[in-house]
Amino acid sequence: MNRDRRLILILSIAFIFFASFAFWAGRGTMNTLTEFFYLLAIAQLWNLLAGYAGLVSVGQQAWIGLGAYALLVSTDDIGLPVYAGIVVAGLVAGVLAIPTALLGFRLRGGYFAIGTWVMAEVFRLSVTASSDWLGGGLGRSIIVNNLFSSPSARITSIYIVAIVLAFGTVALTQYLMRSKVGLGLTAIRDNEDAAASLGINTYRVKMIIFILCAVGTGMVGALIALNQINIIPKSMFSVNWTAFMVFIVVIGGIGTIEGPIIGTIIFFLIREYLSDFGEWSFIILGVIAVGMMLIAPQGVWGLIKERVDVEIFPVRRLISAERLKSLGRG
Amino acid sequence: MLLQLDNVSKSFGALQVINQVSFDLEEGVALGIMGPNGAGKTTLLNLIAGDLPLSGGSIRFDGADLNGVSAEQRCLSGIGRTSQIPRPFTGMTTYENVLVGAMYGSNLSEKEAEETCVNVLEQTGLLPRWNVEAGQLRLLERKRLELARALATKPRLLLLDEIAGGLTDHEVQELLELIRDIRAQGITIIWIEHIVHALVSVVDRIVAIDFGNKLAEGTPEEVINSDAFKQVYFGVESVKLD
Ligand SMILES: Nc1ncnc2c1ncn2[C@@H]1O[C@H](COP(=O)(O)OP(=O)(O)OP(=O)(O)O)[C@@H](O)[C@H]1O
Ligand SMILES: [Mg+2]
Repeated sequence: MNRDRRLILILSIAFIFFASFAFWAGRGTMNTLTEFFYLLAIAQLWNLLAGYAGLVSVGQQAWIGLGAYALLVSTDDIGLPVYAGIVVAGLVAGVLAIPTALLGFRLRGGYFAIGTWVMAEVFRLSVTASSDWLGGGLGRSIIVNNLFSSPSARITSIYIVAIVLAFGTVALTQYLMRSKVGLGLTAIRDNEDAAASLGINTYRVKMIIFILCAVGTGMVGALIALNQINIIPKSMFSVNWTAFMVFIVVIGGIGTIEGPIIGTIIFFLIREYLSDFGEWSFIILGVIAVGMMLIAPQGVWGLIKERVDVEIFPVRRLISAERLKSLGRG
Repeated sequence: MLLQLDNVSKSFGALQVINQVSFDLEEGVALGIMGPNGAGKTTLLNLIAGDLPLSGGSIRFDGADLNGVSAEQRCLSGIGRTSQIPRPFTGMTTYENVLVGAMYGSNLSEKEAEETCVNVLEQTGLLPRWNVEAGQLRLLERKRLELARALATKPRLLLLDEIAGGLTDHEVQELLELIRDIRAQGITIIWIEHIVHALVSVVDRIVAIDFGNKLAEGTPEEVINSDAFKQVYFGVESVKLD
């Protein structure tokens, strides 16, 4: 398959290119890129959730926060190595996503959105309630120096994990979209009732996606925790995380793989430019996102696709060349 | 009996849309459903396909009670449907739309599904449009896509909701060929249609309903000549009986 080989090549080259930064780039560059890649990862996951499965969650901060605390406990308290801690963070988020989904899936549309937010608050409050063990509302410091041999090793390791998570998420999304689950997911995106009429267990497909997104977002939560000195519930469970995901996906183009990538780039450019505006920058970001929804709901990638026929991530399924030939349509 | 409806009722709040309708359908038979606009035909189909829950009565498919069985499970057990208002997956190609039916509805791998899809696309005349986004299809093509997707699920019972509306005479003839073809494969059919001459030329039996009540049932001749049917149908829909 030609177009798939091309994509694998592009992704490999990009990965090697960014991995090379670990050898020569400065701390500042690497820190910025780390943030870029983990935001890309969680935005891509939110896109899968909201853009394909129609599950508009505003409670994704639950998995960031739970992932962060899972890392803290599994490394500092239990003594697991740092990379095992990141995996544990994903698993903890994934397991807790199950009861969250069982409750949340009973709600429709806007109620689902509010429900996920409430669940995230419940998780935050539960963590805050533990003042002896987890430090309550003031949080607890993470003993990062024990986890890495040196400060620069820490920055490099975190950066590597960030690019692995980002590229992993993009590759997984692409793989998923070409699988049976992806076909069902796209059908659900376009018409849920018709999808059910054709034999798709929409509940199960949504459940799979909800859990998968929690696992990925939880791992990113662990990564974010590694970047901190203190793990504080208020910032780890902040709804801002989800706000960033929404902004990135809406700007870039919802329901496409390219969209979140473009969205993350735009988000960084705008934020850089708005850094002088302080708190106002959030309001400006919000206005831009709402304007985009009104003027071009398909996002920047949608605008590009209207003009040029490009496809970086080929998700379209084709009839094989042999079959077409045998039909005389080769 | 492949399908048994026993005192099936449906109400939306205070509005009684289907009122104690009963009929049986043997495997291999083609049944037509007639009735004026708003009679409850689509609702009846939705009840059989599991898109709406019953308010009363029961529906049995192949002997098993369908109460509590979801739409997707009904599809898997062999009930395929088309929708009066087409519901294409607009962001997917025609081929992918049909692939959904084949991969999920008849549980095939993508490789295995290819042959089924190509056959169904050929049968419904959509093959030249296989790689076009379904959102770009014309109404007529969308109706065919409804049929193609349903066929790809390999149904034992196929529910058709006004697939001939808006077609030219020539297109209606083509469609009739296709439906006869489907029948010849042994698929049981329930077909809702306003175009009476088309309907009667294919179906073995007709059930006429009005205001949710079954008015008449029998061979096309019997039903069309029944007093109850004449009273309602000719009064309201005489224009459509050309
Ligand atoms: N979801 C709903 N909620 C409330 N009323 C409904 C609903 N669906 C259908 N109805 C009502 O039920 C009645 C029957 O509608 P239905 O669509 O089954 O008619 P139909 O026989 O298919 O008509 P047509 O020939 O126009 O397609 C109508 O009065 C309609 O307004
Ligand atoms: Mg109708």
